[in-house]
Amino acid sequence: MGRFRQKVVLVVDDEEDMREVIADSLEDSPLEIITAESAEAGAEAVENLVIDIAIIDVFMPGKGGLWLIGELKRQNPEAEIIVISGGWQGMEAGKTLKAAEATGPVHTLNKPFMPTELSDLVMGLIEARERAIEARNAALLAGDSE
Amino acid sequence: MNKTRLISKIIACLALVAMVAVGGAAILSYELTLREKIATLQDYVTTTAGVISAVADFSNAASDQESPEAVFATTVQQIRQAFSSIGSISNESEVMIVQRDGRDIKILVHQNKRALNREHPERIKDDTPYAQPFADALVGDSGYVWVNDFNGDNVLLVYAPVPSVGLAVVVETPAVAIVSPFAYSAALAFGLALVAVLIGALFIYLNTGPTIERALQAQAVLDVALMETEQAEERLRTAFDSMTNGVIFIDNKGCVEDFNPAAEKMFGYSADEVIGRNVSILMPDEHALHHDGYLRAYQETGKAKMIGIGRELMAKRKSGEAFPIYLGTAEMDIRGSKHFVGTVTDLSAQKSLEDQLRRSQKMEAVGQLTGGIAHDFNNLLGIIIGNLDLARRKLEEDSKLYRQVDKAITAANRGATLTRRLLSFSRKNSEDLEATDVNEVVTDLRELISRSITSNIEMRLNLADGLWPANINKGDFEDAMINLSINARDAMPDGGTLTIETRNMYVDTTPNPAFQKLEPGPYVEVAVTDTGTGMPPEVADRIFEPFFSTKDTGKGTGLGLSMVYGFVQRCSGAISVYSEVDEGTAFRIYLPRAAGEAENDVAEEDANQEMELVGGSESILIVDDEPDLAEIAEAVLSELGYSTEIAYSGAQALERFNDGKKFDMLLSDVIMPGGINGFQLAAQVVGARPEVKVLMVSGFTGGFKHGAELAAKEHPLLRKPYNGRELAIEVRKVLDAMDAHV
Repeated sequence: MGRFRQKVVLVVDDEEDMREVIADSLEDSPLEIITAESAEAGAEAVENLVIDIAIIDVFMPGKGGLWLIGELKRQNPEAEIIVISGGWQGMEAGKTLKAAEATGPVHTLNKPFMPTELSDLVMGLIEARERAIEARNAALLAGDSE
Repeated sequence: MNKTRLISKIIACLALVAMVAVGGAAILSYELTLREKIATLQDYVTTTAGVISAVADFSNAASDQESPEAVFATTVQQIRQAFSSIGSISNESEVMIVQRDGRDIKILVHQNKRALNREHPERIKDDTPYAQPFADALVGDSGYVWVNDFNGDNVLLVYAPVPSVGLAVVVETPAVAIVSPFAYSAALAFGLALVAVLIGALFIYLNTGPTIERALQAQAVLDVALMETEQAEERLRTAFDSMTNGVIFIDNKGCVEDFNPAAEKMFGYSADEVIGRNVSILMPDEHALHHDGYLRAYQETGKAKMIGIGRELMAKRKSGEAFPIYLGTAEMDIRGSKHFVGTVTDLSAQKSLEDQLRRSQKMEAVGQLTGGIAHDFNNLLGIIIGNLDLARRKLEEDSKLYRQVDKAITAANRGATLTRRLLSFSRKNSEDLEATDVNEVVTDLRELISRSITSNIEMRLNLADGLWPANINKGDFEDAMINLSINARDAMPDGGTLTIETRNMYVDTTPNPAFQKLEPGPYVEVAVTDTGTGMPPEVADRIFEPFFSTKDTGKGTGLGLSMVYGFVQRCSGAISVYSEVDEGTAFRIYLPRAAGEAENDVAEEDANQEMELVGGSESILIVDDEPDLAEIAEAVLSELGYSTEIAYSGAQALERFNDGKKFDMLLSDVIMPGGINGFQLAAQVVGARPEVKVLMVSGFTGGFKHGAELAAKEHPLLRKPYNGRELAIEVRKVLDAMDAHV
């Protein structure tokens, strides 16, 4: 892993305790955890940093998670997105998820989840990402050598 | 009647009276006068005969030396002289003194010979009827006779003999001479009478004309008024008979005076059964007791509790069933006596719709509430579980603290399961509906279900061939089947039969509470039936509410059926529950048919649904303790031409049969309160009248209790709920079946 730069994980949830649980779940990993309490604050981070993984609660006051997902996909299409929610409530939730999926693949995690579930999912995504980069680099190297 | 005709009648009447009177008087006076005339003439001929005889005697005595011929001649001479000097008896009569001369009769003296203005022969032949009285007189007879003379004219002959000289005196008077004075005076009398009549009529007319005029006008007005009254009466009667509201007239003592057909239908009584009885028979006992009191109090105090005010209250059908009505009452003062009219609207359908709406709104509200709570709960549980798990990682696995945290995590996870169920109730739409073979899912679940029910419960599957695919979420459906099976298991602590049935079902526009708000169209019906304890209606009503449970605290979450409800809502289906205490419970789920591959079938099926139904004219007795369902069946069947009647209980149905009514078919619900269930009813009816066809209807088709299993095989069984089409087809099939009971 040392061969790669430190990966950045953005955690956006309006609930401070939730942000902390998520951050704590990932504290043993070599990731840089950045937290934001709203979609707007999350968007600021998206502008200034290269985000590898964003863990976003869809239901938040203000512009909401869906809007942030859109922003992120626009600025950094490669970022992996994990949508968390306390439950798909009513029609709106269904539409929201559909809308999120329309912008590209998203991963979902329903609350309540075990920290292990989250860290497993995150680490899995990181590894997949690194393998993809390695494969790409190998392909490039092979191309160079020809 | 017009004036002229009336006057003519009066005149005719008066004239008739006058004619009868005048005619009678004329006839009477003619008879009297005639008799007098004949008497006078008889006197005359007798006297004349006496005088002639005396003259002859005298002549005889005075000249006894002379020959008899000379004496006779002298006598005749003297008579002739006497006749020429004395006047005739009357101008119309001829007086003759006659003598036999051989075979003829010879007139010796003929006074007033020209009186009759004709030539009278001097000799009369003896062989004519006219000669007969002459001949009679000459042999000594006297008298009178009506006879036709030699000219054929009717004449009166009065005659007397003069025996001493062999002569006879005959007076001849023509009938015309006797009758004409009377004809004249009678004509005069008639004329006078006619004038009198005309004067009388004129007098009557002058005096009574205006009165008659007025009477005639009054009569005309009356005629019009009568016609209008009849029309108005007919209009009111027709309105009364054809109103959709029940209308009941009562007198001031509460006695029913009139009862319209709508009321008959609503209450189940015929007008004849109710009229004359106290209106309190239409009320549940608690109202009935007070009704007379209300009525009396109102009449004494004028304080209205009901009169002139409409209100909702409970009424009672003949079957004893109480039902909600809206009653409007009004007081009527008819010729000084008080009457009351009540208009009755049956609110049971409306109430049941309201209840249904209230229930669905409640479920909606509960769904939103639980959804919101579940969402918040999941957030909290996320923090709790997250932190506990993080903390647990830091602990030694065999430490006491680790175990404690572990227990806390387990409990929090149970909480998470609960909220997941809540969400599955409140979640509105499922994202992954797909065409699913329901039969396959049920078959696959068979093993799992039979493991989760107890060994004293028999499980039966009754899956329809050619079942349509349903557009559902398979996982949700599996959960629903397991939930319903567990529910059935818990309803049968002493064992029983759990039946899962599937069939294709077309929901049409026939209103049916079981279909709720389902769009008409094709559905897959899945029924889960148990033969358990059943539930009273108030429990069945709330069975789908989250956290509503009849199970002991701790035994159930009260969410199982809510999840099933949520699932059904999400796939735009419906669920209904039909339950009878001590008989069992049937849950029916309607799942929309998946379109797509089977689209051709769909089109074909739709075409089938459009096909004309075959009706009939047979009479059918519909028996159901649920008035709504009975009325649905009645509406469907009577539209097809059948003549239908409803009975609300087995006992009532038997009564109808015993009344001598001829029914071709018995369409009866199976489970009914009141001692006689459908099977018993059918057995009794068929026992007495083997020609009656039977179709049983039941919400339970899976299994029956109490040995009814066997009875169920005797008659065809239509499962509830049915659509109008199914009912029509099944009824026709049963009616057309040959020797149905052999």
